[in-house]
Amino acid sequence: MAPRSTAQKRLLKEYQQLSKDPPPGILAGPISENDLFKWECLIEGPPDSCYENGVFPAKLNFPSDYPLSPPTLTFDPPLLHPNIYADGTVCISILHPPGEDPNQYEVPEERWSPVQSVEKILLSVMSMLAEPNPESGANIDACKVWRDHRDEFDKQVREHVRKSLGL
Amino acid sequence: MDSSTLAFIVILVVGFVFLRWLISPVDPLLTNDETENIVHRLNRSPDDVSARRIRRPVTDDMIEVVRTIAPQLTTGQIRMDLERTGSVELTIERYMETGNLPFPPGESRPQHTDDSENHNKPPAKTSSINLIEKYGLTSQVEQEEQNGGVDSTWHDDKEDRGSLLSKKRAEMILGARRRLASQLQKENSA
Repeated sequence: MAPRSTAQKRLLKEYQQLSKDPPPGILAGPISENDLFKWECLIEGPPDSCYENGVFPAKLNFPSDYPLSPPTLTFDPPLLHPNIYADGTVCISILHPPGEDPNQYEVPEERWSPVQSVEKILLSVMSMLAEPNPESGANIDACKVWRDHRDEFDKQVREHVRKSLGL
Repeated sequence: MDSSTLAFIVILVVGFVFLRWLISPVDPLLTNDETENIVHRLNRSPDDVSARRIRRPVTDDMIEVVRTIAPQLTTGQIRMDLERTGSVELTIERYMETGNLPFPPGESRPQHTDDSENHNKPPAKTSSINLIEKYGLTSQVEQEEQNGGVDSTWHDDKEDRGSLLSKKRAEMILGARRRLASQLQKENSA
């Protein structure tokens, strides 16, 4: 087998840790171990939110210089949420490259750094599902519905959950 | 002049010559054997000697080291400066002093594209919304709940790991489906 790069070693280690001690409601691993840079994860909707009972598949794409640069996380199919772009890409501070925020909005500690991990990303995404952050909205349409017509927003998400589980 | 002064001067001169010889550059015209010989006598690895005189080629490792310290620099910037200085330390020192490094010709500051414009188009192709179809679980939907428990073993074989992962995936989806089904049932009967 070819010698593994730092990124591959680190990804395999994180995969091992996630398999041995998985956080509740989270499942993640490489789509195929031939390519450790592409992961697929399942995230359960947090209870007491409109995403409850849902299971949401997402793709993690790691850069070749991981863990220096953060991966991208994309829900596939896209999910209606104020902090998820219409194409499914998640926009939260932990997935933003390290350093100062040009808009001075996020503190550097919240952003990506090599001490973060896949597990921390997925836990952040779970809490993002439970509590959307409308101040740094990504999907403006979803933000509007979430803010002004919460009933309609909840209804659409529940519809999505039902369809996704074939009920 | 007494003999001890003479001896002292002689030792100084010999010491000076010896030191000069010790730190003098390796003559590039020496053959490999001779170089090795000298290197051996100086008790240093060949890398140490040549690194000081000959510029090391820029390796990916060097770029990675610089990037750890200066994450906002582009690979092009780092490579150009490393080619100029030939040393990670000098490049980092330059970066620390100026806060930036010159861009190589033809490359400019990466444009910060507006993310919301890039990402707010619906994707061209998405996978099926129905997870039962997506993961081919139709045959397992009607099965009774399996008392699998959480299997957190780590198999040595990657095939085993992959199949365990997809098994856990199926369990998670089917579990969620059962919960939702019972919740819907409750709502309907209420």
